[in-house]
Amino acid sequence: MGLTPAFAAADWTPMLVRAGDGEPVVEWCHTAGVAFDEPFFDQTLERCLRHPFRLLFRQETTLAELEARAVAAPGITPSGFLLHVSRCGSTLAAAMLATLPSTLVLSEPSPLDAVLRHGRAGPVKAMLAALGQPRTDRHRHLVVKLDAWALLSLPVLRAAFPAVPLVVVHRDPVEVAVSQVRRRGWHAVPGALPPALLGLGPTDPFTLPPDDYVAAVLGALYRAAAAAVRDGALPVDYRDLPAAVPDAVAPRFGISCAAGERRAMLAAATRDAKNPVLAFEEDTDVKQQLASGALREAVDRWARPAYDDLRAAASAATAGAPRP
Amino acid sequence: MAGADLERLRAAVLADPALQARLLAVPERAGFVAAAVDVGAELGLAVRPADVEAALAAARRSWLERWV
Repeated sequence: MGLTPAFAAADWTPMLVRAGDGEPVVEWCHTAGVAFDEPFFDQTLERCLRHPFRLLFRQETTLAELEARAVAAPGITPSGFLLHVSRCGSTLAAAMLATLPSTLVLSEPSPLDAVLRHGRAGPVKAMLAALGQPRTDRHRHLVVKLDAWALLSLPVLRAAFPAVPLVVVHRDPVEVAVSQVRRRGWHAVPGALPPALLGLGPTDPFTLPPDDYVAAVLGALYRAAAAAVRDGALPVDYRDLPAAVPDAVAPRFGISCAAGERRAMLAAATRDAKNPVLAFEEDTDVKQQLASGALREAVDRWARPAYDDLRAAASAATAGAPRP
Repeated sequence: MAGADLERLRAAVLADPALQARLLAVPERAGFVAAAVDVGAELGLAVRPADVEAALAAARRSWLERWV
């Protein structure tokens, strides 16, 4: 494997990181001419891989080669990272920002998640350089919406990007838990995340009742979110969406919006962010009604204290914010 | 050996934008398999349709299993 003259930064995109013989291998998908239009980065890769050429012919590099390429092709400097607790409007926020012609938005790119969980800052910086190549001549901002569990990798992210602004999107944990119980994200599956990372004992993921495990995962996310807010991240409550995106998130990321761009962002908020053919439906009341007594008890036990701490941190951040 | 010739085909295509463009022009699977075999033959490689099909299946699995 290795770099070849045909391997132009603009034509290939990292698609996964796998275990190789002794060291990780980055596989790259041919993406020249592909618009990354889907709500999630991996959905666009899935579309690319329907073409047999892209499925079969993948470039391969080591992480060291990935880092060398980042020096030659550094990509767009990140404008901001969207962190979140899952099922809280973060996809909507990303979709709204993606309407801006100036802004490349990457939504939960799995190759970035792989190097974040690998735990070294160098490959994280290099992977984002590869993923963050401008795709149009108007791209000058880069926003990355990370996976929910990236909150637990904040030290690595901060080591790689100490100065990039962070936004943390959050929501009442009962409403998030109802969604997770209905359709579990990867991180809510017992055994997916190391128990120690969640503040749990080694067998807890497999002995806790399912609702308790979901709530325990959320507790870990909310604790990390509170710490991030205390460290300067901007908290955004689901209830303040969608207006918070043009009015608070974009300014925090240093992205200015013309009046027409703001209208386009708010128009995007009328569509379901995960399935844009559908209209957006506000579901706070529905989710609260769907929560069983057992789920509420689990949330109160495992996640409510951390959520209360997050809200206290958010209030303190707002109180300390400079007046306009 | 068939596996070695498929790897040689892979390396040759990945190093040659013209071969990449030629294979990118065939999105339909059966036609792509035939085109890949043809490219292999032109390079003096003994790549069979079954080799290409097996490699496509393995590639699909590696993508689906990336979370495992």
